[in-house]
Amino acid sequence: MRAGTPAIVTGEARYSGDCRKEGMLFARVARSPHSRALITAVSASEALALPGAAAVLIASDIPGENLIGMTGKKHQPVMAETDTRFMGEAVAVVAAETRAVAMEAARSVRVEYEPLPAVHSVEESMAPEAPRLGPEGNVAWQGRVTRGDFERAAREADVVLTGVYRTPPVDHAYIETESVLAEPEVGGMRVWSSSKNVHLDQREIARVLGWPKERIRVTAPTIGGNFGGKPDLPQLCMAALLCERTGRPVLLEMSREESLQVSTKRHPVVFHMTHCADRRGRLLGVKMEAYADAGAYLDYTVPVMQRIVIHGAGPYRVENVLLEGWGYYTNNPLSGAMRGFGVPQVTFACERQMDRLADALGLDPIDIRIMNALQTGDRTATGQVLESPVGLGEALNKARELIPAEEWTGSQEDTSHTGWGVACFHYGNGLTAMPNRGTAVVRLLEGGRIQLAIGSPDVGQGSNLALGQLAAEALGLEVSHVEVLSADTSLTPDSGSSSGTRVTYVVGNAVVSAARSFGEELAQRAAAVLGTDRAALSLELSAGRPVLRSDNFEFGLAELYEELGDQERPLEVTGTFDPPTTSLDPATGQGAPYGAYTFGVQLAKVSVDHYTGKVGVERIVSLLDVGTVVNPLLLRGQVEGGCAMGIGYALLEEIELQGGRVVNDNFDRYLLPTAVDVCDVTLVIIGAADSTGPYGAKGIGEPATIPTAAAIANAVSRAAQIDVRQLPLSLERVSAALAEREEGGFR
Amino acid sequence: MLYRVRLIVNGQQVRLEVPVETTLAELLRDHLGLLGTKIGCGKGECGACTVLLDGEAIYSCLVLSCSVDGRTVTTIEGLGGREALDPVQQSFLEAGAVQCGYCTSGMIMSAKAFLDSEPDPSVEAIRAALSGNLCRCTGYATVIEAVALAAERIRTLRSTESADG
Repeated sequence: MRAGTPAIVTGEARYSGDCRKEGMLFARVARSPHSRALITAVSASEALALPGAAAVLIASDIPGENLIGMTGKKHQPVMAETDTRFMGEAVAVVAAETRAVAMEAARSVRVEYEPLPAVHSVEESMAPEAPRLGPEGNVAWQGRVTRGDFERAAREADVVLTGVYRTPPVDHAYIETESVLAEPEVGGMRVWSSSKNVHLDQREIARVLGWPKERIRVTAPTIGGNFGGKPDLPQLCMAALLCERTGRPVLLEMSREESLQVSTKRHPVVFHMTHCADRRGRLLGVKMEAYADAGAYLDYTVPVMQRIVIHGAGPYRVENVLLEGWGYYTNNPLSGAMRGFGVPQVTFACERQMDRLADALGLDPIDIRIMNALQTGDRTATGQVLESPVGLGEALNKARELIPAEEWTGSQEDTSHTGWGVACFHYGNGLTAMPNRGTAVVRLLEGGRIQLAIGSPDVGQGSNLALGQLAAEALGLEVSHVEVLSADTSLTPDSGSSSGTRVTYVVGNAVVSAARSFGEELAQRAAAVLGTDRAALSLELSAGRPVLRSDNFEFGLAELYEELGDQERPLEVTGTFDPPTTSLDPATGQGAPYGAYTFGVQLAKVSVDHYTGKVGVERIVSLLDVGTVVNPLLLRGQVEGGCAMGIGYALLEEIELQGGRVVNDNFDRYLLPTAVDVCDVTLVIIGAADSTGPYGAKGIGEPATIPTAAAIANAVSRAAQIDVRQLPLSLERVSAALAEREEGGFR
Repeated sequence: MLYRVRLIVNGQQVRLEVPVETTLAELLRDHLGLLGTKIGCGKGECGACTVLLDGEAIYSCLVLSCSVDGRTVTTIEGLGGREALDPVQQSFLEAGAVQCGYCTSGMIMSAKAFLDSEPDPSVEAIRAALSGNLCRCTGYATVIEAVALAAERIRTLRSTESADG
C-alpha cells in the first residue's frame, strides 16, 4: 500500500513556505529580548521610513481581540501590548518588499522596555517571594484523579516506594519550520497554514481581525511535520493582520532559531511518586504529585495536565489512587501539545517506579506488570470500565516469549553492559472528557467521482490515505475510487484537530458513517431516476469502475450525476461521530474521559559504555494493541518514527534555557536522532478489534512514542545497575551515575 | 551589491544577478522557482537543502551563489518527472520512506550522490551516508530500505544496459 505521494518525491509538493504570489510581501517579527518586561514605548517610524518597508503593526493596531489560544483558554496575545512574558514574544510585525528589508525593518522597530524580575522554573514560581505571573497567582492549573483510600493502602502495604523523576522540555523539531501565507481574496482573505486544525485557525484569525469567519478561508497545503506543534497562532494572526493592512499577499516565515525559541515545548515535569504494594507485588495504591512548567501563558497546560493525572497510575489495576497535578506559570516559552500530551512524561515516572518496585520485591519486571496489568472489564483510575478488549496482558506474555531468559538478564562485557528494559502504557484516544465530534462529508462529483472531505489535516502521518481506505471499505470499493480532500475551510467540514490520537478513531468513525449513508443515498437516487426498486440496486465494481448494478443492467455514477437536478448537485452526505465520553467529576476526577484506549508494551535493548557513559539502543520490540490495523505500512511508519522520537527524548534532547533564552537554538546543538542513532524496531500486533472503533481500529500517532524513553531508562538502569531518575540520559548524566556507583567516583 | 552568476541547473544554462549574500538554496528557490529544495535550519545541519554540485551532494544553504559560478547543479526537479521517476524516487515511494516529505528531496539527493559512488552498499554504509539528513517522521528504517532498493534497481538497470550494449 503506497504511503507517499508522487508529488513529494518529485519535489512538486508545495508547503506553506513555498507559496509565491504576485506582489507578495515578506514579513518579519520584532521580538522581545527580555523574559519579562514592561513595554514603555514603541516607535515604528524608523522602520516604516526604510525604502521597501510596507507596514509595521503593533498590538494597538489589532482591530479585533488580541487574545488567542489553541484550547478554550484565550490567554495569549498575538503581540504583547503592555508587557512581555517570555523571551522572543512578538511585539511588532513588519512587511516589506524583500526579506532583507523586512529583517532590517524588524530590527528598526524601537521598543523601550523596563525589565522585571523573571521566573524560570517551577521551583522559582512556587516560592513565596516569586513575582505574581498569572491573573490568579502562579498556579495556572490544578486538578486530581482520586479513587479509594490511598492513605489506608499505604498503611496496609508491605512495600511503600517513593521516587522523584524529572523530564526536560523538548521541541517538536519538525523539519519544516512554521510558515504562513495570507492573501487577499474577493470579499475576504485566504490563508495557507501548516496547521493541525484549519477551522480553529479560521476562528482565531476572525476574532483577531474582527471579521465574520466566513470571510476567511484557511487551507493547509502539504504539511512538513506537526507532532502537536503547529500552527504558531501569533504568527498566523500576524500574517493575516498584515494582509488586511496592506491588501497584498504576505509570507511570514520563521527561522529555525526563532522556531526553537518561541514555539511551544513538551512540558517539563517533576513527579513525586509513591507506589504501595503487597509482598507479592500487587499494587495497592499509587500517589502522584506532578509539577509542570506551563510557560508564560495558559493554553495546552489544561489538557496536558488532565492527561497526566488521568494516566498517572499507568495501565494497571489500582484500587486506591491519589493523582494530583499542578501547572505553574513561568517566563519560559509556552509549554504545549507534543505527541503524547504529557503521557510520555508520566510513563517515564510510573515505569521507573514499577521496575524499582520489582527490584525491591525481588520480582521480574515483566512478572510484576503481568500481575497488575489492566484487563477487559477492569476499572481505570478514573473509574471507567474497560468494556472493549484490552490486549495488555497478552502483549506482556508475548514479550516474555520473545526474549530468551538468558538474554533478558543482560550481560557484562569488559567495556560495556547490555540489557533489556520494559515499559507499558495506555493512551486514551480523542480529546479528554469533552465532546469532540468528528465530521466527514462524502460527495458525488461530476464524472461520477467520489470525494471524501474531512477538515482534519494530514500532517504527514498519512491520515488521508487511512481515512480513504475506511471510506472505500464502507462503500465496498477500492481506495483508488475515493478522492480525499482535507483541511480547507471552504470545502471540508470541521472535523476537529489532527491531535490527541483522534483521527483514525474519532474522524474515522465519522467517515465510515458518511460513506455508508452515501452508498445508501446513491442507491435511492438511482432507483428514483431509473424508476426501479432500491432493493434491486447495489454499489459494485464493474471493470474497475463503480456502478449501481441490478440483475439486468449497470448504471454508472457519471450517468447518475448527469441525471440529478441542479439543486441535487453535488450529491452530498455528512457523517458524524462523537466518542462516548463524560466530563470528569471536578472533585474526584472520576468519569469516562475517552471512548477507546490504545495499549502496548515496549522492550528496549541497550548497551552502556562503562567508561564514557554512552548509551546505544540496539533493538526495540513494540507490542501494540491498536485494534484493527487499517494500513500496515502507515502503522509501521508511525511506530518507527515514534521510537526514533522516543530515542531522542531518552538520550539526546533537551531545550537548554538560560534566563528564558534557548541556548541550543539550532540543530548543531539541539541534537536529533540521525540514521546512525536508531535501531531495528520489531512490531508485534496484539489484541482484538475495538468495540467502538471504525472496523475495530484505534489510534497509534501518539502511542508510538509514549513508552520508548521509559523502556530505555529501565534498560539502562538494569544494564548499568544505576537508578535513572531524570531524562535525557546524556553522556554526562550516565557517566556521573556510573562514577557514583563505583563509590568514590574514580576508575 | 549584485553578482553575476552563470550556472547549469538541471541541464539548463542560467545567468542571473543576485545579491552577494544569496545562498545557492535561496537562488534555487527564490530566483529560479525550484521550490523542491527545502530550507530546514539554514546552518547545514538538517540536510533538507541538499543538491548535487558537479555530482557531489552539498548543503545548498551554506554555499554562496557567487562562489559556484560556472558549475553544474542538480536539484530534485532535475531527476525525473512523475512519468519518468528516477530509481531513487521510485524506491522512496514504494518503500513508504515518505511521511511529511519535507526532508525527502534532500534525502533523495544525498542517496543519489551516494549510490553513484557506491553501487552496492551495506546497510551500515547507507546509515552513515544518510546521517547528514535529518528526518523527524520515519525513524529512517524505510528510508534505508528505499536506498537499498534503489541500489538494487540501479544495478539491475546497469546490467541490462551492459547486456544490451
